[in-house]
Amino acid sequence: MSSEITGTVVSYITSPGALWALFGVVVGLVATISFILHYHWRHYGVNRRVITRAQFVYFVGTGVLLAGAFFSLSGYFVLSMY
Amino acid sequence: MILEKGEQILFEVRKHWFIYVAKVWVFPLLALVPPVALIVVVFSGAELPASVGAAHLALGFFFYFLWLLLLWVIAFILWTDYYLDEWIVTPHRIIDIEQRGLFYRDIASLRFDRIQDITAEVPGLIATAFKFGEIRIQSAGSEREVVLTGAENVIEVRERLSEQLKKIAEAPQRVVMAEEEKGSGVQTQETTE
Repeated sequence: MSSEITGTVVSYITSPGALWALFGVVVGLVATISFILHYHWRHYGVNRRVITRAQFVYFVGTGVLLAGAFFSLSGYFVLSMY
Repeated sequence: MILEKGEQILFEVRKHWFIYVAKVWVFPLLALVPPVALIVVVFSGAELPASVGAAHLALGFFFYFLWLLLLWVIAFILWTDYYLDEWIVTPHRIIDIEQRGLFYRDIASLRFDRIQDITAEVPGLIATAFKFGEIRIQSAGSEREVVLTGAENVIEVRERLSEQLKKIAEAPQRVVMAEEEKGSGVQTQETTE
């Protein structure tokens, strides 16, 4: 009985809709936090050179991680078909 | 902008980088937890279900990237909190900016002519090794005490603040002396040459 429930939960969590929805929520959250951080750096950062460097590192790192998440999720669905 | 028109920054006082590192040193370890756990499972000889394949590995990578993203964003939130918490020292005042998280920011200004005492404290072995500590400025009247904990180069900062305080204290005396000299007709060495 419990294995059936577990199986149902796992199949729901790993369904395309749920995983893409999770990814969408994460992208939304990251975009919101990034906007807030960017606002703080722009308005309150005194040393512009440090702030520019921090922004570059943050946005490049965030982009790489989001791209990694996107491609691995796409890879999961592509590989699931075979 | 925090500064008044034409006001220049003499120097900034920040928290030492050690304060930030002390908060985030665990993050690289947390980032390594999932791959280490996977390696342990693989090398422990535990049999994985036959259905586990490349697709599941890709799904694992997806969650791992989300995990790294979470750590990454938290690290930068903490950095912002650390970096925006500072003192800006101008020729006439100290601007104390206190950043707590992303949504609380307190800015107070203390004029040098109101300062009564500046104390620096380096507590313990690590603080001594990395030259950070607490600077406390007491002001006259009802103005609050200004404190920066974990400030970098704490002794040097105290000396620079004391020098500036001395300059400010001497400045009105110079004006009075110059006026007295002017009134009594005493000429200075510079004018006679």
